[in-house]
Amino acid sequence: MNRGWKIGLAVLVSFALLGTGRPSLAQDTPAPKATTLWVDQKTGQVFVRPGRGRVAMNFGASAEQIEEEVEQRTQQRTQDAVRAAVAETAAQQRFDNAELQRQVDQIKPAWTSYVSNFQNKFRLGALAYLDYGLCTHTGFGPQFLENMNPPGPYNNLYNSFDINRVYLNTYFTPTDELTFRFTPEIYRANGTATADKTGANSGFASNLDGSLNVRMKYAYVQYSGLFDRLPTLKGGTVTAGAQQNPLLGWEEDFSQYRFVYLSPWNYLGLSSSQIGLQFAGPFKPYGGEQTYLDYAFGAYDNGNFSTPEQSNTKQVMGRVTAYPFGSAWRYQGLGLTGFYNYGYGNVAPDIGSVPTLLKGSIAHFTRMSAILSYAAEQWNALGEFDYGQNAFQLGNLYRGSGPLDAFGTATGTGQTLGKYAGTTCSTNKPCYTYPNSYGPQTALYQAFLNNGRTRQIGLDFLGHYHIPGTKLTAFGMFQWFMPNDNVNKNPLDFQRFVAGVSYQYNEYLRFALDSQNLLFYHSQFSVPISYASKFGYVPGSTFNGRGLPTKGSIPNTVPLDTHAIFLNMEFAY
Amino acid sequence: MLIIALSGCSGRNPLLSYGPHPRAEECAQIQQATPTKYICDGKLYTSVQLSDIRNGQPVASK
Repeated sequence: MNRGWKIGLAVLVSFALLGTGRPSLAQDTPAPKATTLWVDQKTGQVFVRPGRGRVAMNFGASAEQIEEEVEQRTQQRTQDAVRAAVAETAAQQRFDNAELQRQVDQIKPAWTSYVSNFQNKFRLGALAYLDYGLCTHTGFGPQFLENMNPPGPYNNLYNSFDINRVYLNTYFTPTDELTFRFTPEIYRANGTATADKTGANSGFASNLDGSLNVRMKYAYVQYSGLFDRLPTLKGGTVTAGAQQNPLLGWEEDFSQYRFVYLSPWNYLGLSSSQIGLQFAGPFKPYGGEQTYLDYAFGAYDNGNFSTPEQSNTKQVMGRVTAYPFGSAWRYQGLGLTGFYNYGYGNVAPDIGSVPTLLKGSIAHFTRMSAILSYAAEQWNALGEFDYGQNAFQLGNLYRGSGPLDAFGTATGTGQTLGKYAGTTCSTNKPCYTYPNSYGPQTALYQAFLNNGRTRQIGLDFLGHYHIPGTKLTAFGMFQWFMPNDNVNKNPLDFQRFVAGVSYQYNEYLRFALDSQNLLFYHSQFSVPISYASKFGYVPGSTFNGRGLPTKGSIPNTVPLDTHAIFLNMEFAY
Repeated sequence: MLIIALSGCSGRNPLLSYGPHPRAEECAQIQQATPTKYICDGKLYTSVQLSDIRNGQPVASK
């Protein structure tokens, strides 16, 4: 086939292809289909039919091919879009995570700071006083230590393991100058209560008597920056809440043996915790670290931490300790201390304001002490003179244990016929008789101690000495006390003395073996009823439902002594 | 008996004072607080510091 003929054929085929093209309408557009021509490989001629030596040559695409290609392209576009969306989301997520991490990094230091600083702002400590006590001779009297209530006379060799004190001290100091303290303590509940009744026929016994319960001992807020700008008074504090009173905590820390014996006024009934407002601190006048004066004074409820306040007056308390030669550390060297306390009976105003001849137990009270002390690292010594007015009453005398007559129940067998000691006896009003009763003696003591015009005088010595080279320290305490020196010869005048040795196992644990004794040192004697009546004893009156003696004397007025041996343990952290 | 029991089998007389200086038994206890405070050779230590000294750890006193 010549060249012209080939060209003509190609043009003809093209026209054929193009001629068939026309605008297609949606409703009648035929399905596109591929066009196939055959080319002779030797001559290059193009034919419309297959033949020998010819190979197919396709033009265009079939519907299936186009559909497949469209589908592939659509899928490709979809995948590309998805990938793009995923990439964009991932990028946004990375950005968000980075932002969140940045925020968390900003938050974390504050939380870490709180947690790491908490340990520097919070202190938790424990204090426990435990003992084993053997009373070789039992008697009535105040408690040697808290939560101890041995039976009265004729119960010799009574012995017990006791928990005298358990504190859990918590201190929180959010700032250097501010401290909150909360200290619960253990105490023994005494006193029977009626059984509980439930339903018509059921009941269960009271479990209040004798249980060791938990109560608040100290709860206060203290600010110590009061005088920061005054170097002379720097370190001064103001404290509000249930706190140590100005004297007892100071004296207990001086003696170092609170786990063995009570300090003198504490033994006589002054509580170691009062609710009120107190200022305290050192006085350093010469700019150095030597203290020349330290003080504590405040106003408090007339009730103590464990009794509700009823009065509309308050008591004041103050202590000043002077160190004439300066004190390098607390108590060091020679110290001169004065203590003063004035307050009123804790009764509601509608009772306290009623005029009476003898105010009795609701009268005003006074306590004073003058103390001379010396402290060195290895030993110390303290001498104390005490003066009081209405500061020691029958309830204080029998704080450990006392005859039932002091608590509303008559002892002994009453006489119901005739007369006894000038008092007419009857079934309705039996007479107290002696010697098988404590009733007349108790009424006498009540007159001597609760008349509202009593005066107390006392003298005390205490101290300790560390035996060099050992873990042993010898210690002792002597207290002489006249509960009412207005009585010419008071059968209740007593001496208390403690002597022992302690063993320091380590910084947290100490033991002590000691003897403690309460001696009513007068020889036994009788008190004429005529003399007793001058102090408010009413002859023939009714006491616990029985008639008191009217004539003669009340015998056996000097109480029996108490002697005990203790093994004490102190754990402090 | 209690003291002997607490001293264990160290072979030392449990009544005597041993160990690094200062030791609690040689100091003046000036305040029973949390922790307890002692004065030893004129310096202030807490019970925790004295315990650390006894156990061989260095401590700075006030």
